[in-house]
Amino acid sequence: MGTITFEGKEFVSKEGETVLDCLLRLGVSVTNSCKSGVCHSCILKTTSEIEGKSQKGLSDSKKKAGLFLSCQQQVADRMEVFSPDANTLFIDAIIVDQKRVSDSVVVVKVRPLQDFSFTAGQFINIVRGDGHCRSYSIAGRTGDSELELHIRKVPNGILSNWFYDEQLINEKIKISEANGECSLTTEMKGKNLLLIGVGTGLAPLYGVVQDALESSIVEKINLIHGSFTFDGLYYCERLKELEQKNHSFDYYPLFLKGDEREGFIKGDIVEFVKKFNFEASNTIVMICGDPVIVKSLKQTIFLAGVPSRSILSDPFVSKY
Amino acid sequence: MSTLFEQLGGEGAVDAAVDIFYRKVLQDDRIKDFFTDVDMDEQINKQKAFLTFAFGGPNKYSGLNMKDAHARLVDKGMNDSHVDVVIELLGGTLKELGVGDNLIGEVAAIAESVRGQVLGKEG
Repeated sequence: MGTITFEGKEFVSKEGETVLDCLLRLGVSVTNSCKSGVCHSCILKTTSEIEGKSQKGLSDSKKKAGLFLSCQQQVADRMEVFSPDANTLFIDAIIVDQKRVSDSVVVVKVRPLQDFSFTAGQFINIVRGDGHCRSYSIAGRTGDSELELHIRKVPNGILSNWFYDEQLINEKIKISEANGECSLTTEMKGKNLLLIGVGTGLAPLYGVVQDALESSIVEKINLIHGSFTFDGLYYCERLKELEQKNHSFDYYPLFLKGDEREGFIKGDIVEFVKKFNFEASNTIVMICGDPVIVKSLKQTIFLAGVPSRSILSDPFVSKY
Repeated sequence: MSTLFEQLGGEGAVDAAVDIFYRKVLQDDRIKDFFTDVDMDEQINKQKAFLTFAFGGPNKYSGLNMKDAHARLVDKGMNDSHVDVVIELLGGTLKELGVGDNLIGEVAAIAESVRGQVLGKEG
């Protein structure tokens, strides 16, 4: 048990409760999404001592400023917690395009209205006017002025259904700075890339593929895109076109259920990856999408001989 | 006289050993079921903490004590035979890295020293 002082009021926690859960339980509105320390949407500020894991992935300047992930921090004896300055965490943006590309995926384009930078492969948090928040990967190349997002409609997905069902052109939203580890770096020079995306896990990888082809930092690029059904293999035409134009790029579209199709692979993605032939010691692997499959694919890739530091991932964790 | 940790090569040795060791753990039919369910990044961090400790290095392991940290595994049936396998794989890892038998013996003795706590027999 501990006590949080937040905006002049005291809140008493239950045994083992996180700062986020305690505040939410006692009726305080705190933006949050994944509750797993991944999305960074629940950032708060403190002057009290905190655990290392509640600042995991934050920049040094944020750590110094006392910012922390409230979903990862258990309430200590006595903690002083503040709202961070929202202007440092979120900026205004506007929705400029919205197009359905399959029976469940919509491609949305967002234009930031203030200074914004990102590297292909990173994700942002989007906050709707009513405070609902969710992380989405950017599917564009580094430097794009409009951010392309691939959003899959899911049961009970408050924001994903909103994006899929409503007319949202010119709608204003807030976006966070970009985060995430699945990006190209100069250290990857001369290596091969193996990109594995499940569902809209294609989005960040689509950006990485474009960056990689443009910069020629890496040698060979293999992209495996897995989907439950054939219809979920959105963007297959433009990826096949990209494959034809670039001999360093190979694309493997794969689906689990339905009739066989020419030019596509039918089967389980984990089994496919187990048999996939690549040079394990010289390959950077990026794995994005459903967290359960990402976890399983990471182990598969590691056992194939890829060093753990060469395996980057972006599990699409969500509690909603 | 340098410490065991220094003789083994310090943090660099831990980094070199962790992938080899964890790969052995994940592939060993006798113990893999205790590990395959856990996220890899989290597991690698834990293995690094364990190896640093067993190598006689600075014990940075934070969070739960040995007993609490392994209680879930003891509930799942972990016993002395599984600890034996872990120590065996640790020795195999060091052998692969070219470490001599006498140092491997010292590492095994450190790992052995927490057997009781890990299995929940000592506080």
